[in-house]
Amino acid sequence: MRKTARAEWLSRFDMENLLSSILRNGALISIGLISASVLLRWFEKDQGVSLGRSIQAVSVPALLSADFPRVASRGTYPSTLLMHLGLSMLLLTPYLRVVASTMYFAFVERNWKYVLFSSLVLILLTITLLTNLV
Amino acid sequence: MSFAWLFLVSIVAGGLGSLSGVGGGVVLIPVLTFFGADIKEAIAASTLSVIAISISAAPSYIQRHMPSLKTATFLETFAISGAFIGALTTLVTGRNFLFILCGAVLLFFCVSLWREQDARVPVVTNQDPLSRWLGLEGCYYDDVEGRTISYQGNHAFLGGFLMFVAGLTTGFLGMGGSVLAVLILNRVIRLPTKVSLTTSNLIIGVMALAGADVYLEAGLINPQLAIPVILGTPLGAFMGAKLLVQLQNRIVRFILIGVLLLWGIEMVMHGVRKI
Repeated sequence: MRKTARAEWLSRFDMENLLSSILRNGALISIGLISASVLLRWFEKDQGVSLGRSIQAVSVPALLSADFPRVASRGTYPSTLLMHLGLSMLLLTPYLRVVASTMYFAFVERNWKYVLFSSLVLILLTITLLTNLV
Repeated sequence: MSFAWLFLVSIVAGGLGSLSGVGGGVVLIPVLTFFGADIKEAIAASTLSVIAISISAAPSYIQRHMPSLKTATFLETFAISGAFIGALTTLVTGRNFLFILCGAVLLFFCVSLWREQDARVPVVTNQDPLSRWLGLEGCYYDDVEGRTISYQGNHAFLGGFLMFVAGLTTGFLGMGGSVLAVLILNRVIRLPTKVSLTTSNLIIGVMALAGADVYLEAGLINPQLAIPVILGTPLGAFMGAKLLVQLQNRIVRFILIGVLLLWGIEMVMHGVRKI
């Protein structure tokens, strides 16, 4: 009975839909957030769009964790936060695609060779995203 | 350069890159440095544009079942390692040397665009043991031919090694990865052209991510440069893809060869003069 339910779920599982919706939504959200930050900067500054200096961050989580308290304490327009959220979303979208591929190979295809390759990609990306190696 | 000017330049770069198939970075980096941008910040911005273009274009390809997910996953392990090492190398490399290398890559693309032919890739009849073990095979529906086309991949080991080199180039110079990935998938692994183009699109997104992380950690992401580039290049690539069906491929190729030749020589001379 349990096996039949799993087979039915698998027959309805559409990997292509899942991957394309992750990528499409990631692209729309990141470009939307970055565009919103540019518009907010436009209203904040009189001299046009000034986007600030280089972003110095040790990692993606550190980039965001520094912004939230800054915005809350100053009560200003959160344009920098929106820009950093958009950039983080841009970086996280291909990462989430790899997470989805790994889960697909593990739970749907049960193809352990590709679970191994996919996990290796995920480990390498996680190390570069979370840690400061420079 | 102002935001509006950079945005326009990025649209043109994305469009030209898409029309010619060489990718936005090949056009973008010379223009940005020509107008005074720091070459390392230009490479970082170009790497982010590769991610933006990849994730914007991939959904429609995936829904048409075009890319080979297995081939992409296998090759990504090599591509990421290369991109990571390449990006770390950029941080310690002198700017003049980067100018010379970027110029040399542009001149290489001039030659490859000049020699480009519609070479027919032979169908794989005898798969090597590693490719068979990896299950590098698949099928897709070709709209033009009106039938389902089955394919098998070959030379997985050589393809993996060369993809490491492609990753190294993308991480190091922020450009060239998409062309090299397509060449490896099509000429070495012997996947059909459409499968190669769409699979490379998936690989370069992850490959560029490894490089972009290093640049973020090194403080090379300059919003003044990166934001208009991220917004402009996918828009240009989209417009380029729409225009592609109306423009003659040969005309675009000849224009690009002329432009790349001039920029390539200019970048090499710039690097050599300051040594």
